[in-house]
Amino acid sequence: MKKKKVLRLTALATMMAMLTVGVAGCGSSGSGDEGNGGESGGDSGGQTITVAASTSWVKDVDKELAQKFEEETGNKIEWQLSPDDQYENVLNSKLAVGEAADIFYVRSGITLTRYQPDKYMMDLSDQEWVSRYNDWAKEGTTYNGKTVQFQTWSVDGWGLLYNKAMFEEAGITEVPTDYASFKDACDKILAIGKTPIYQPGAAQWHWSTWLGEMTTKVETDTGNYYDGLNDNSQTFAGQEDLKTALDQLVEMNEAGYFGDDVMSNTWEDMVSKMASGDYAMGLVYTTFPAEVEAANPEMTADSWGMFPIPLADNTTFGVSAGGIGRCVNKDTKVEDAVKEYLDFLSQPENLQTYYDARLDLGPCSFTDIPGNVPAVYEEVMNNASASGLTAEDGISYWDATQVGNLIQAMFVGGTSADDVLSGIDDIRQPNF
Amino acid sequence: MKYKKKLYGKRFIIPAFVLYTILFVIPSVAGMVISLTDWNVAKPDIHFIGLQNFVDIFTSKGGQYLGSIIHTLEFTFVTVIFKTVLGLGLALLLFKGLRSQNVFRTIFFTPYALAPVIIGISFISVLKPEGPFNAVLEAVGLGALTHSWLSDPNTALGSTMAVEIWRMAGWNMMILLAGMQMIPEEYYEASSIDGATKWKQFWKITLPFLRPSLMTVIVLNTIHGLRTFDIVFALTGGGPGGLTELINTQVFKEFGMGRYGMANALNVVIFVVTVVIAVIMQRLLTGKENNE
Repeated sequence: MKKKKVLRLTALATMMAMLTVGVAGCGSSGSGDEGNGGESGGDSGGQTITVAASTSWVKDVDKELAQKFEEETGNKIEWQLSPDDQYENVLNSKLAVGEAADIFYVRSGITLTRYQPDKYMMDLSDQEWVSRYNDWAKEGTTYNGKTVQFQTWSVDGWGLLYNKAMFEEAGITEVPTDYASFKDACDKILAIGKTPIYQPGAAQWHWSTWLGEMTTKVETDTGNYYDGLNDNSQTFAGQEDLKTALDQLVEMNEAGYFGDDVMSNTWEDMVSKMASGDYAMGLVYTTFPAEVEAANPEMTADSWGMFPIPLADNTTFGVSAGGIGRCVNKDTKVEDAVKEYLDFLSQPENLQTYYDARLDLGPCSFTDIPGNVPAVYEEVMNNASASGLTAEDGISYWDATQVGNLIQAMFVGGTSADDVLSGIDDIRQPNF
Repeated sequence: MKYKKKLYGKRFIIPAFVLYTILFVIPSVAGMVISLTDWNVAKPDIHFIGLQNFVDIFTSKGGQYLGSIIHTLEFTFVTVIFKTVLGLGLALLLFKGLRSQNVFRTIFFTPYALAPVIIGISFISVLKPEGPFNAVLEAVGLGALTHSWLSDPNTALGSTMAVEIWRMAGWNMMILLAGMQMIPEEYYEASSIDGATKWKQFWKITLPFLRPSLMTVIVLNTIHGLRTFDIVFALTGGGPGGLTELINTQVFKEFGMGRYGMANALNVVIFVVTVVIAVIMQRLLTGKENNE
């Protein structure tokens, strides 16, 4: 009897231990990467700089430049890449537990506030390269008067990229300027046996881009919508233009404009799908045609045009606060090596190498070189009546993944546009 | 001659007790305390808010938290049944008499040795609309059953369950095989002489002797199901539209957004649910054992 009691107690203790491991483990799950690799290391006796980023933000040229830096200095760059949908969670988790990389990529603009700049980001204002920033780059990387990011990106926005040849084949002679003409264009595309829009429905964040561009319209129309949202005196619920846009998004799906199975489309396939010639349009940034051309050289930049999302009869074009930048972990143990790396990247010849390879980027963040200004950027600006910041860069606590999740639920979970808008309010509210 | 009943003194417990307290008890208690606060990275101060986080979990307007609790319970219930039954079936099949039983045992156990994230990423390709699973269905004339398994609201959660069952069935098989090897051969020989059929032997000998092993796999499967995270996160990220959101994927998102108070409150909920279910099952299963 006593033996059984002991056995039972042992079993219970084992069970409790396993449970506790489960509870304690949750917070740090999601990445098996090492944390802040600030310790000295490397075969050459140099230091190891860890760099965390979302997978699609780091291209081959980043690794080539890192290799050149390694050869010149003997320091080592160690990449910690996370899938696009998971990066934000992983980064926040690692920052919270003190395991963040020495350099971590985050979006410029108001998104910086989401990562507690005072606590986690090093003040880089005294670096030489700051004086060579373009105004928009400096503004987008500044928080409370301090420069907290090294940015090699560009001003950009998300519009509907269209295949000119396919539009011509379908008999669409003018770029849609309102929802009615947009629907008409989609119907004509369907009539020639093509899918009007490639929408990567599996990528939650991409759904939020539709709504994020529409808030620019509301801000432009009212002049103070973002201020109201940021001081918590305004809400998303009850905003008629946004509700109309969401309802129209559902209508588009029901009309088959996104194809048969939008939720299984991935962002990773976006370039190949647009290059395939099976889709007429896609919601992308203005430098996207360069990526398509790389995949299919027959589809040059001239093959494409762009116009603002015409939901709710919108004609404004939302732009970013400069894109993505690198922040330096305030607690890095290799500060000198990190600063040397950023200084290296800011040299004009390295900037030239970077922007020559990054044809997906527009104007350079630095005054040293011009960068690239894509043809569709000029076209979408011509097609737009005005431009302004998107939700992502203008509205605090805008969580692209969570907003996208709410929009996905509208398609698969039977919720309404009103639920999406009030859901966004619910997500933001605890932060005030 | 007197023998000392105890070879070791109680003080030998101290190192393990200290480590256990520091690494497990204190973090767990700290998590419970944090669950009573509004700790949020966006706010400079932390306030004690009592049970407000728990009230929000069960009354949130969109039902997102409650939804994830329900999905977790569904996930656990279905996977426990199928993992155990499949594991038992495989164990019976591969216990003896099959020439290549060791090869098959290894094959069925292999998925458990793979990282859940790797399995998740692989199955995204397998279950894609144009993926190999649908291709096989088409090839065998079951084209009508093809689906977009992970994005269809009707099949998304079920598909994640199926992948988890596939991964863990071999592990269940191994535990149950070990249990079967403990059953004395004489019982089967004696019952055969008495004319017992295989079916009768299974019900009257195998199953009663396997009860301790079955209890172990059921309890462990339940605990594992309730705290599932990695495989579902890799497969669907909780989508589409939160239809495969489990408590732990929700915890990860809350933690990622810097809402530590709410993240810990959700953790406490799953902790309590797990303890209650596990203790009840333990009582029921060991109780039966004691009565026999």
